Amino acid sequence: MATMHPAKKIYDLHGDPIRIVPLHLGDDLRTPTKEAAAAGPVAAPNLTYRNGPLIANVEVFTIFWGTAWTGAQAALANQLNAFFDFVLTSALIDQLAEYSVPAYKIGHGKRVGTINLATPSLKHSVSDTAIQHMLQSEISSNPNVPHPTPNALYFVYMPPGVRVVQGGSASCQAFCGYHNDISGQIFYAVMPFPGCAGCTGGLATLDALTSTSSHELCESITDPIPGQGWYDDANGEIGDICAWKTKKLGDYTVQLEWSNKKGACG
Amino acid sequence: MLGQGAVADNGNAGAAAPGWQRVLVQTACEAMHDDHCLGRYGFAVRSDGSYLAGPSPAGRRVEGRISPDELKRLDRLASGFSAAAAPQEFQSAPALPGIKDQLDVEFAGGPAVRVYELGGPGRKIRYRGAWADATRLHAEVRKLLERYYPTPFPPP
Repeated sequence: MATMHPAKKIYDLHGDPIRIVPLHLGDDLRTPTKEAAAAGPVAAPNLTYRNGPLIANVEVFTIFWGTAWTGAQAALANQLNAFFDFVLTSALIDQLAEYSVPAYKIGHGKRVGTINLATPSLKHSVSDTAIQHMLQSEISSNPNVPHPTPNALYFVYMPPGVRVVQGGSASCQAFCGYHNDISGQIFYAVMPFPGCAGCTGGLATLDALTSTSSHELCESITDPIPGQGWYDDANGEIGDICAWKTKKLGDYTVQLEWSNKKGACG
Repeated sequence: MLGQGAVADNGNAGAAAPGWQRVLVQTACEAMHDDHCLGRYGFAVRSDGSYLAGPSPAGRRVEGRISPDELKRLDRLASGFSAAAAPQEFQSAPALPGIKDQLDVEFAGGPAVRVYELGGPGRKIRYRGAWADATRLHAEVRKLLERYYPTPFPPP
């Protein structure tokens, strides 16, 4: 039997109401009732500090994985390093100072190095688990890779055509970049090459990468162990609230970040 | 007749036998344009086979109907859950930070019950009832999402 082709219609704001399930899950695994959801406005974003570590003076080390970064994408790798040289002492970092706490005063950072990594060779996809293994292996065996410190942040850039996958999710399907930690000791961010409309947003490749990199950079500084730093249960981290709202800083495109003080993205 | 869900959707929940009324999906992507994030604005399928994607922040909704075969499969899978089933956790490869995938089943006369959640506390998969049942329903709804949820989501 032939399957009916679905008809799609677009309705205006006053159509049949639908309850949106809130993003945060309560302990009882239940969502609010329809009536409760309709009763009040959604709370404004507000990051709260969860007593975990922050990165006070970030030291970024970039890792360009794959041979493309020494070939066709070599210029882009240089541009990304120049971006970090600029942005880590820029107003973007200054605006994070409002999230300083007594034990972690957020200030300027620096880029401390870079490597191109040809091996292990990449296939069409790589898991976050494999990225963690690569990182740990390079840290322990490669004298050019700095050892982790409370300020160290490794940025791993993937070449074109390599999908990053983990836990049923994939780049360009559920994420354009992310940051994570290994046992609360190694902080890192992963930047898949932006190869889809959802990850370029109509921007040139460099602009898309600096926008997403700034998103993950600010999240890594303010919430290096995801959920244990500055976090909003309903809206996520500092960059999530303002995702894909961008501005120019110097010659670079960066993402706006949420300010509790201003109650706005800035 | 598509089971209890079809009966329960007649708007007379007090008189109807308990059954599922809607399945609802909500997702979140990391550092991705919301318009391109599959399920970001919510996706709900009623027990009569109608579906609703959105609304987007701009108020756009997309509505349609899943096929009878899809509804049969969904009805069989969703009918297996009850609000009384115990919540459980599963962890293989933890979800990446910032990514969420939540599936609720709404029953007649009761609140929605979360039967599957990726990206919650501890970034484990949390589910209700039997693992096989929860993942089968999740996979079925995922297929519907991929087929009917528009990406990019239409602009105002």
